[in-house]
Amino acid sequence: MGQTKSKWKNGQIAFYDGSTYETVKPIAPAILYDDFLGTTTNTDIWTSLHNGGGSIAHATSNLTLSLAGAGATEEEGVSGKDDKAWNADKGFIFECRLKLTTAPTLTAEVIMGVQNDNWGAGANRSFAADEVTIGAFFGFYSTVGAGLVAQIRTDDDSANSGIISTGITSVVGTYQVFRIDFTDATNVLFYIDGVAVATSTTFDMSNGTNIMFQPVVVIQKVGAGGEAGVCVLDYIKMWQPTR
Amino acid sequence: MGHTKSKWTAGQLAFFDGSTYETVEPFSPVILYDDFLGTALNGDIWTGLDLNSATLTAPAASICAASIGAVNENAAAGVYGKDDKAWNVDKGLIFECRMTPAVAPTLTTEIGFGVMNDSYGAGSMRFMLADEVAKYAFFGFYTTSGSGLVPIIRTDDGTNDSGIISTATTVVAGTYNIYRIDFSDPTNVLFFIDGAAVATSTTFDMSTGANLMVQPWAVVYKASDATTSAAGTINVDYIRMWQATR
Repeated sequence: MGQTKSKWKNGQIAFYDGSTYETVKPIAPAILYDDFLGTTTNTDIWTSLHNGGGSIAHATSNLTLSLAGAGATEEEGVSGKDDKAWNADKGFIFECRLKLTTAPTLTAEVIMGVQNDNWGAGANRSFAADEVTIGAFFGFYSTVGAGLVAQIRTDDDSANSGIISTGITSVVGTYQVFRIDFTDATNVLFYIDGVAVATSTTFDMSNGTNIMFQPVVVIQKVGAGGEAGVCVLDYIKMWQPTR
Repeated sequence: MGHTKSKWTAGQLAFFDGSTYETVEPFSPVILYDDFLGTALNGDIWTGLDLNSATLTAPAASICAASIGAVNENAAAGVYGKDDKAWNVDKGLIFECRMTPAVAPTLTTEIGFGVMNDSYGAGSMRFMLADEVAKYAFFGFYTTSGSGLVPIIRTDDGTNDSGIISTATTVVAGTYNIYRIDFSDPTNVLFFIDGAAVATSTTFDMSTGANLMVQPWAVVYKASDATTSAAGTINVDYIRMWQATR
C-alpha cells in the first residue's frame, strides 16, 4: 500500500498513491470519477456499449468486457453518451485502471481514452483501422507484442501520430494505470503506472480550439470470427484544472 | 489557469482555484456537489421544474439550462432540492454556484438562486416583484436592476427582511460568474461574486429561530401576467453546498 503523496501540475495540486501512481484526489473544478461500484452502470453518465455476442459484466467494482468471437461486429464497453464536456485546451487529464485477462487476437482491439467523435458503432477503431477522426487513445491489438504491448495513437484531424508503441509489455491479469495528460495540447503526455511512455514522440492535439471530448473504453472487433479478448476496467477518472 | 490555494472558513479547510475563486474541494462532513455531468438530471437530489411552457433542458456538456418563453402564464424552470431541507443555517452552511443569465430577464421575469426554507409553490415563488417566499437567502436578477444584469440580494428569516439590495456588480449575459452565500455567522450572512464580497454595507441577518433548515434553489420564473410576455434563461454550471458541522 503506497503512501499518499501530492504533486503540483500546472498550478493544481493532486493527491496520488505513491506506489501505484493512481491519482486518488485531484483538486480540480471539474471531476468525473466512476469506480463502477454496485451492479448497475450509471447511465446518466455512460452509454453502455454492447453490440454483438460479447458481454459486459458490472460487478465487484469492475466492468468485465468480453468478446465472443462470433462472425460479426462486437463492441463491449462504455462511452460518455456523446456528451463532450471535456476541453482539450483546458488541460484535462484522463486516467483509467485496466487489465487484460485475455489479450486481443486477430482483428480485436482495446481502446481507452477520449474522442471528439460521436460513438460510431462498427466504425470506432483506432488501431486495426483508423476510424476515429479526433481522438487520443491507449490501446492493445494483436499486431504488436501478441496484444500485450500497449500502443498509443492520437489524431486531431491534422496531426496523426500513427501507431506508436509504448514498449511496455503488460501481464495478463495484472492491472495498470493509464493516464493521458492534455496539460499542453501541443504535447499530450502518456503514462503507464506513473511512468511517461513514448517520450520520443510529440503527440499534438492542438488543431482547432476548445475541442471537446468524451471518454471511451471499449474492446471491439470487426471480423469474420474466431477473435478473442477480455479486459477488466476498474475505474475511469477525468479532471480538468479550469473551466 | 489558477493555482490551487486553500483557506480556513469557520475552522474548516477548503481548497479553491486561485484565479476564479471556485471552491474546488471543501473538507466538510456534509457536501453536495453537482456539476451536471452526463445527460440526465439526478432526480435523487433535484426536482426539475418546467412549469407550463417553461423548458428545463437535459444536462449537456456539464451545463443545466432552463428558460421560460414569451407566454402569459405562470412559468418556472430550474432545479430545487425536492423540498428536502437538509441544510442548517446554524451549522455554517455555504452555498455556491456558477451560473449565467444567458438571456437576461425581461418584464416580470425573475431569476433566483440560493437557499430557502419554503417548499415549492407553483406561481408563488417571487421575492423581488413580490415577496412571496417566507424564509430564504437569494441572489437574483430582475429587470428593475440594471436591465436584469445587476445581481441583487435579498434575505428574509421571517423577521428580518433585508429588502432588495443591489450588489452594484454588472454581469454579462452568457459569461459565467461564481456566486457564494456564506452562513458561517447567521447574524451576518456574507455574499460573494467571483471571490469578492458584495453588498458589504448591509448586514444580512438570518438568525431568527434556531436550526432553520433550507434547500437549494436555482430557478427562472414569472407569475401569470396578462400584459406581458416576459422571458429569461439561466445556465447553471454547478451547485455546491457544504456545512461545517452536523
